[in-house]
Amino acid sequence: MDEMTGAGVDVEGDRHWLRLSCPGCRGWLGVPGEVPPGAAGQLVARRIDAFVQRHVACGRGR
Amino acid sequence: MLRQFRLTVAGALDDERADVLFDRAGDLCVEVVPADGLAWVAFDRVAPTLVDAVVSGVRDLDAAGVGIAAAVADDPLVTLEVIAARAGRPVDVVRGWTGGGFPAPVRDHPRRPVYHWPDVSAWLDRHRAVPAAGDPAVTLEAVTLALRLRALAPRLERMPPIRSLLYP
Repeated sequence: MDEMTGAGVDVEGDRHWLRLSCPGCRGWLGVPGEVPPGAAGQLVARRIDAFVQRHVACGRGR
Repeated sequence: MLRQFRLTVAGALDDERADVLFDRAGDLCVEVVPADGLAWVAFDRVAPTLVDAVVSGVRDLDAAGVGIAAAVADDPLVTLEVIAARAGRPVDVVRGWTGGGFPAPVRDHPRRPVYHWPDVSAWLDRHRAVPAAGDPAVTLEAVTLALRLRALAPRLERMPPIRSLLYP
């Protein structure tokens, strides 16, 4: 999560899933709130990495 | 086998619909880009074939009341683990390919570098690192056409003659 917030992404967790929001463009990513460790966790991590990569430029303007 | 694809959303994708989606399946993620008016649901689904995976994904969105515009290829940004899964090779083997002529990561992270799949796929093809497989684009296009036909069906005078065209 530190990597995500460091890239300028906010994390909210008020439901059974987590919302990662870009403060720059208000785009968001919803991921499962509970993911078993291992392969499933890596797949979700990959979605987060891709989202962060897409929004790095938006977050810089924060 | 792991099947990865996206269903682009037609119309709204709000928190309530996302709640239903995540209650129904734990192998999906939702992404919304308000600036571009885009939203999609990305799947990491284990299924015997891609078409089985995509059709079950369509059913998930149907159950959540989420309209579907199209079935499209997966996110082009991939990690070494995803490359390994698609290549059917251990991650350590794929890691050994990096450097040299292997495509450079778009995000050079010490633990989880991110690569652009079309570049990686072209490299794999050139080095024959992955056995040839069916073209997933054909499956995705067929599902998209079926979804468009489904959307038009309520406005058609008669559907059966059109459906008969599928079986010449």
